[in-house]
Amino acid sequence: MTPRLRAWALSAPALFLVALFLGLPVLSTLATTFGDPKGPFAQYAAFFDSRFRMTVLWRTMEVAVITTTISVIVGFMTAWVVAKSPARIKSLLIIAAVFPLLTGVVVRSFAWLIILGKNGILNDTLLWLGLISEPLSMLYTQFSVTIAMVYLFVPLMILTLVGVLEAIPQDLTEAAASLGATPAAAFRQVVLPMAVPGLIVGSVLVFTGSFTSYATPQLLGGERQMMMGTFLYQRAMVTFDWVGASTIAAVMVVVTLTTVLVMSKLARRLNPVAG
Amino acid sequence: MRRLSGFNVVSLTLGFTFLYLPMVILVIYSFNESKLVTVWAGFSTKWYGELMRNEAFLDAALVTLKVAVMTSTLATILGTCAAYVLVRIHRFPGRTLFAGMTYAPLVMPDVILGLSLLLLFIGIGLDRGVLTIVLAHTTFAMCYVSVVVTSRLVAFDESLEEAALDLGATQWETFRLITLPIIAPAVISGWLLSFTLSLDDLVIASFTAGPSSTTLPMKIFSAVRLGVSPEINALSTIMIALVTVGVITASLMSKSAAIRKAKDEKAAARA
Repeated sequence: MTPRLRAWALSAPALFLVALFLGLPVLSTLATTFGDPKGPFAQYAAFFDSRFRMTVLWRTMEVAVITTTISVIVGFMTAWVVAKSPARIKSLLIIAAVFPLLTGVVVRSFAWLIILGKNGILNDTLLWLGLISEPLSMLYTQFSVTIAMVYLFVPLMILTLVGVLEAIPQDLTEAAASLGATPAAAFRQVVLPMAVPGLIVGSVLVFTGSFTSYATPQLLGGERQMMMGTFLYQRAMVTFDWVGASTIAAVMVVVTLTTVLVMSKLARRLNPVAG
Repeated sequence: MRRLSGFNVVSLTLGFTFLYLPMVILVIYSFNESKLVTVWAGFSTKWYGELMRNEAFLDAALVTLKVAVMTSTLATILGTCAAYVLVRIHRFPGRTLFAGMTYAPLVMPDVILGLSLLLLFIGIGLDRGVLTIVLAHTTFAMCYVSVVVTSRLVAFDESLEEAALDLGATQWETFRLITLPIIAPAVISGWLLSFTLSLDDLVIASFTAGPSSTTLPMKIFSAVRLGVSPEINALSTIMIALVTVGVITASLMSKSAAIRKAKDEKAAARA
């Protein structure tokens, strides 16, 4: 067999699968959104005209941006300490940070259902402490969705940042200090710029993950806090409005791709060396 | 050895408390006697018993396991082939497109993949069931396997293969006796990765499953939507325990592999 023929024979099954079950369906799903008899962009005009759909879009953006911001802060603090800790503990800490990622989205969202419920642990504790006189309703709010999302995505952020922070030589911060920089200045002028690539990758992962998530907004937000993922699912599986669902999918693709492009531009501007 | 400052210890503790407290609560309340999830009424393992008698959960667990085993096996074979072709054969028609497509599921939101597959299966008139879930899972898991195996193949010294061929081995023998043993760790972690991906997936399975092929994540999800129950705590605890065993085994395996490697290197240096 010639090498070329062998390449074809070996890659044919995989190629067939990705073409038939990935390329074709995604493209045709996006294509159906332009097939409206009223004109190719009629579906999009309807999407951006609808008050309800725009509310869903903005809410999803808001939750995703807040989730990303909090995950960056919490993730950075944890990753910083993990990266600086002695080698023996470090690998243990990294495993401990990855572990929650493996336990499944449904299980981890369920945990927050127990904590934040009307008779949940948080309400019970606050009542017992006398801080509140009647249970707060925390479930099915933007707050419950956001906190569960942060919980979901912090491990991913830690994982992305540890690698980058580890690679920053201790000498650099020491050099900055010996040249008279305060710890805050050394952090801002030395550590932060070098951490930019990791921060960007982590933010992109967390933003797109939370922007397109389904299980967490469904369990902790319900119908009241409809987000793009739950909205798409409802359109496709409850009302069988497939073109409507495909339009939501297309809007999601545009938002996530734009985010990736803007963030990688930003990365280049903030840190030209890392490109 | 560097020591951690007080501030660092505090921020580390806070971070990991946030990550683990919800799971610890979940586990503790799975041993609660009371039907009310959050009212402690004494230690009991009765919810585990209830779980074992719940046919619906057992059926779903069986479906999930079947799907995960088929998916990970298929995905590992196809993904390894794809990686081999992409690394070893530098030019063939459609290579760039193929390489790009194997990265697509890594960035493609799963709701979109799920919706597209649902519309495809409806379009070609394929009844949704275990087969459609396996096809869907294999497609995206294969791409993860391909990425994992590619990274191992890139680091591989190609002259070893050439030496085997020079010494008269056939191409198949070379692959079986030289290439496969060297890339085996990556192939095994690719299998494990796709097994976990398939086991955990809620979204794509929800779109591609039929009425008689509910997977465990789907079952838990719909049970939770109807109301929290200690049975779900018990089930979550079992799943957390399984992951714990898996993680410990994997880290012990990589540790012993590292020790063996260090020993080999020492022996080689002496020789």
